[in-house]
Amino acid sequence: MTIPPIPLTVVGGYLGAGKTTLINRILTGDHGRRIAVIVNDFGDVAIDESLVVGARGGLRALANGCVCCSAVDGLATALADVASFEPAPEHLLIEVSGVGDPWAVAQWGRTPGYALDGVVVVVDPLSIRRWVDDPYVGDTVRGQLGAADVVVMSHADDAPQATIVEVDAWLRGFVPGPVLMGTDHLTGLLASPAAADREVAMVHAAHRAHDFVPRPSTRAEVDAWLAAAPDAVVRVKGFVAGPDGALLAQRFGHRNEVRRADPEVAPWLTVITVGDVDSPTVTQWCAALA
Amino acid sequence: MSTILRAGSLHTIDPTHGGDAVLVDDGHIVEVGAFEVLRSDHPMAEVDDRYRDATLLPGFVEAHAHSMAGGIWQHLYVGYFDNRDPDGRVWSGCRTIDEVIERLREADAALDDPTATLRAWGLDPIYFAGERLVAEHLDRVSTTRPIFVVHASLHLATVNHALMAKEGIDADTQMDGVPKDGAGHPIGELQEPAAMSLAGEGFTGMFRSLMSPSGLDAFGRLARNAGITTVADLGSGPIASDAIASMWQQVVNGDGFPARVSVFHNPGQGGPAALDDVAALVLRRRAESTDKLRFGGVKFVLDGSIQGFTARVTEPYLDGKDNGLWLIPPGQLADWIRPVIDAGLLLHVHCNGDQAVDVLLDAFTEATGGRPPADHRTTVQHCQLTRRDQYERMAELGLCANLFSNHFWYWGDQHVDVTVGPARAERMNATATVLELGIPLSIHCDASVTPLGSLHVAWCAANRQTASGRVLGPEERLDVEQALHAITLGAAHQLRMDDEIGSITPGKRADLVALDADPFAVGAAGLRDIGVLGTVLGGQHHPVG
Repeated sequence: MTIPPIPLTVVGGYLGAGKTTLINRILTGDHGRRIAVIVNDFGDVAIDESLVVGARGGLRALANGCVCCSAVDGLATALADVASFEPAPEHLLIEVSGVGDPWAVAQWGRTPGYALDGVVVVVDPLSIRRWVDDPYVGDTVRGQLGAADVVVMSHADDAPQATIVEVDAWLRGFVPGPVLMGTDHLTGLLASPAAADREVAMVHAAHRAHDFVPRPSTRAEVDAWLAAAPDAVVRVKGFVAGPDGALLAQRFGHRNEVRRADPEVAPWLTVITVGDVDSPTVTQWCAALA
Repeated sequence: MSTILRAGSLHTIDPTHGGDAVLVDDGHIVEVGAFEVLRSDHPMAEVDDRYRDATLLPGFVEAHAHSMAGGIWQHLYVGYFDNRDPDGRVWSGCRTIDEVIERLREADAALDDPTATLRAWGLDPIYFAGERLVAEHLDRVSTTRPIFVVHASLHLATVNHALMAKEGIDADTQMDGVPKDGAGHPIGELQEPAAMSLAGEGFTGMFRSLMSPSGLDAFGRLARNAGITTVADLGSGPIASDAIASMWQQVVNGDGFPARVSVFHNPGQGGPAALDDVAALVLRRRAESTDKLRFGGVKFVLDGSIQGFTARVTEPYLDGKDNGLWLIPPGQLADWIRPVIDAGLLLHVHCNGDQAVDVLLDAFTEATGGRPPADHRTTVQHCQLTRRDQYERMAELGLCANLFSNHFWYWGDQHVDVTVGPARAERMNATATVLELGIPLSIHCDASVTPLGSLHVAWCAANRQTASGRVLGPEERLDVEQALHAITLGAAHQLRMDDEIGSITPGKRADLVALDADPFAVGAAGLRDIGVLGTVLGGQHHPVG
C-alpha cells in the first residue's frame, strides 16, 4: 500500500481576522489528532513555548501530538519537512499571510505527497466591510473571499448580533460557499474517515456528523450525488467502491472533488452538516448513496 | 611601497580634487594631482603607466543587484538581449522562438550525458507579442532529454514532454498553474512555484545552484568586467544560515575576489521570523564585516514588478488588468521597519509602484514618529513610478532614491504600449526631479533582472531611450557628470560607504576603474559603448577577462 497523501487545508484571511487564534486552538486543543501547521508569514509562530516538547529541523513538536513550523525558508522546504516527520501528520494546515492569495497556496496541495482538502477564509465581522473597501487592500481581501470554499466568521461570541446578521447577509451575497459562525467550525472541516472514531471530539457543537457505508457506485453517480448535496452539508469525505475503481469523494464547502483512490481502502463516508443531520433532506440525500 | 598610477585622463567625482595621477599606498589613495607634481614630491614612488592612455574613475558602485546573477550562468542563456557571461563571452540575444530552439539544440548536442536535464534561463515572452513557448517547441530540441526553461520573471517555466513524462505531469495533473490544451493535456507551461516544483530535479537543480561558491565567484567576475568595485547583494539567500554566511566569507574575503560586497538580509527569504530577532541577527552579522564583505543592511519587498503587472499602482494598468500584489500587509509595514531603524541598521525597501511608495511613506512616518533619525539613508529601491508629490515627501523625510533606469532600454516600449501607457512611461524613473529636490540619487541594474553594467545604467539615465528608439521624458535625463555621480558616490552614499569609496579622494580606498574612452569626451550618447579595461581594488589590479 502506498503512503497516503496528507490532506491539506489552507487558512487565509486579512490581518486581524482571527487566523492565529484559530490555529492556536488547534495546536493546543485536546482533539487527539496529529495536525501539522505551517505558518506562511513573517512574525512569530505565536505558540505557548511551554507546550513545545521537542524540535526536529525546522519543526516544533507540541504536547498534543501536533507539529508546527514557519515557511520562512520557503513552502517547498516546509512541506518536505512535514512530509518526512515521524509519525506522519494526519493533516496539514497552512496559514497564509494576511495579504497572501490562499488559492495560490492551495496549489501546493496538488504536489506529490499532499492532497488538497480546501480553502477556509477567516473573517472578522467587525472589520471586513472596511477592508473590502480599503484603497490599498480591498482588491486583495475581495480576492481572498472569492477563493474561499468556506468562510468562517471569528468573534462570533463578542461581536454585536446585529453586526453578525448584517455581515452574514452581505457575505452570502458574494462568496460562493457557506458562511459559518465561529472559528470552532474549522475543526469539523478537518473530518477524516481515517479518524472517524475520534471525530466526535473534533466536531463543533453546531455540527452533526453522520457516517455510513456507501453502496457500489460509478464515478458519474458520485459526482451527481455530491452535486445534489443540501446546503446544510459543509463537508463530505470518504471512499466509494464501484465499477470505476476505488474513488475518493469529498466536498469542502461548495467545492466537490472525486478522484482515484487506493484500491485497498474500505468504503466509508463521513458527512458533516451544520444544523440538524436528521432532517429529511439530509437523510434522503444520504440514503440515495447508502 | 607607494605607487603613482598615471592616467590619460582622470575624473575624481570629487570637486575638491583633480589631476591626471593618483598616489596609492597600502591600498589607499594618498594624493591626487598632476603627474609631474606627484613625481617630484614622491621621487621614491614607483610609476605605473599601464593606464597611461586610459581614463580612470572611481570604481563603479552598484547598490542593487543579486548574486544569483553569477550562478545562473551555470545554465544556458536564452534571453532576448545580448548578454555577457562571467568569462566575458557575449551571448547574442534570442530574438525569436526559433532562435531559442536553435540555442537549445546547440547546447543539447554539446551535452555528453544523454539523460542530463538541460536547464536554460532568461526567456521573456513579453517580447514575442503573444507567441507562447510550449512543450512542442522544446520537443523539437529533444524528445528524450528533459528540458527546463525558466522565464526571466522566475515565476514561470516551460518544459518538454520528456520532462513531463519523467515527472508524471499529465492529463491527471490538476493544478491551476498547469494550463492544458483542448484535449486536456498539459501544454508544458508551469506557472508559479507550486507548479514549477512538479518539474522535480529540473526545478530544484536550477534554484539550488544559484547560491554556491562558484556562483558567487562568477558574480565577482561579472562585477569586475563591468568596472564595479563595490556591489550590493539585495537578497539571495538567508544570511541567518551559518552555511550561507560562511560561503560569502570564504569567497569574498579570499585574495582573488575582485569586489567588495554589501550583503543585505531580506527577512522574506529566510532567517528568524520574529522582527526583533531580525535586527539582532543582522547586528551580529555586521560585527563579522571585513574590508571587502559588509553585513548590516536589511531589505524588505513591498510589491512586485511593473512588467509582471505585480507592482502596486494607484491608477490601473492598461487594459483594466488587476492591480499588483502586496508582499507585506500595508498595515504591518511600520511595525516591521521600526526595529530595523531603531537598531541603526541600513533599511532599503523595494517599491516599484507608486501605491507602494505611499504605503512606505506612511509607514516610515509612523515608525519614526515623523522625526527620522539623522542621516538614516533609508532608500526606496526601484521607485520607478513615484510621483512628484511623493518625491517631495521623500525629500522631507530624508529618504534616498535608487532608480531602475535600465527599464527604458529593456521594457520602455512595453511600458508605453502594454503596461502603464505613455504618460506614466514618460515620467518613470524621474532622475532629474530627484536631483532637483535634493534627494540622494543612485541608479541600478537589479542583476539578474537586467545585466550587471554601470555604464549601461548611466547611459539609460542620460538618454532614456527605448529599444525601438523612443526617448521617454527627455527633461528627466541626467548629464554625464550626474550619471557618473549616481553610479559611484551616489550609490556609495546609500550603502553608507561614501566615507571610504565612491570618489578618488585622499584617504579613501584605492578602488578605481580604467576605461578605454573618457565619458566626458564621448558624451551621453556613447556611455554604454565605453569599454572597461580593468579595476583596481584596494590598490590590487584586476584586469577584465
